[in-house]
Amino acid sequence: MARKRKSAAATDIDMTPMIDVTFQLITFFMFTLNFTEAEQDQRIQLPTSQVAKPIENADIEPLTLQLMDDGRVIYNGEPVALLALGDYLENEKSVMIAASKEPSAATVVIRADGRARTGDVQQIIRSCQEKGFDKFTLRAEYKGP
Amino acid sequence: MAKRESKLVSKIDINMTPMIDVVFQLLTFFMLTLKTVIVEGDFNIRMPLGASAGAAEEDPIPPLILKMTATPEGRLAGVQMGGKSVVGQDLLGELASADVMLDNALAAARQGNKGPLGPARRAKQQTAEELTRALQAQILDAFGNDLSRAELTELELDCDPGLKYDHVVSAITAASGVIQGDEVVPLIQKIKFSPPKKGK
Repeated sequence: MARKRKSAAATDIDMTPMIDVTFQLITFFMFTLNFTEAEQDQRIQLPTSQVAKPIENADIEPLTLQLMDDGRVIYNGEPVALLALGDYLENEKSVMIAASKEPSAATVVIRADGRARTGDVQQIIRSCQEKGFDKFTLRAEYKGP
Repeated sequence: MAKRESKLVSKIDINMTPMIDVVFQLLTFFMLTLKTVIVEGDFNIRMPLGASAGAAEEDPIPPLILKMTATPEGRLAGVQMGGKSVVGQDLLGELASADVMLDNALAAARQGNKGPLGPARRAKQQTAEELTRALQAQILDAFGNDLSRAELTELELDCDPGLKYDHVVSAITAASGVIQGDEVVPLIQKIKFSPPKKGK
């Protein structure tokens, strides 16, 4: 009888190390969680650069336009034709004016695929300029030295 | 006496099962929401509204104009700075073959064969860095040893519209900073694109 009890105690595993490790993992995954949604689109392969400045002014509301390699622009998660971009920008402008802000207060972030045409990037810039946006930044993937 | 004591001890023994359940739920949630964040950086470009209308600015220092031409497929055909070509034919050939390799690898990846994509990306990045180094040597040459002058100069990129965008980023990288040891010494900070040509 006494023997049986002993064997039952032997199967009782010590949980403490496992729980320790598990909490470590949870903490790690919690801290690496990022809430910036939709900013990094899998359809875009950014060109790489060693000296691109770290992203600043994260508090200013950016207008992100992502150019795919086939010449379409991802706006609000949907691919739209480059020539139709003007209408969407007009919307964006009226939203800003309704919030009593000038379009020039916004920064247009251009995330263009490395294989896109430079002319399309310039076309985006021109379309934005027509609507009064005049601050641009080009985004690249940072590959440090 | 002995009986009572053992009863007490078994009372303190907490049932761990629900906690471990919840902890594993949390762990699974955080693991699945994990996204590998690629570190990104910005280049500010200066495209004032009036510039496209052709307003002549009175800059004391003339802009550095980098003219980048393209082949019909969008590969880099040549880079001219101040009228002379600054990139050798062998480097242009390497760039083109890296581009072809990446195109083929991407086409293969679309059909489910991911094998050659990694090496193609690496080759692409390597040639892009070579282009950056070659351009940077020329730009530094143009300024002599006077890097403070570079900060006042404006870079104007005159690119063929068909050119693949990553070559432009290589050029911007070359012009905007020199890596010395661990830090980046800034060069040209004002970058703009040339207005489109009237003929096209």
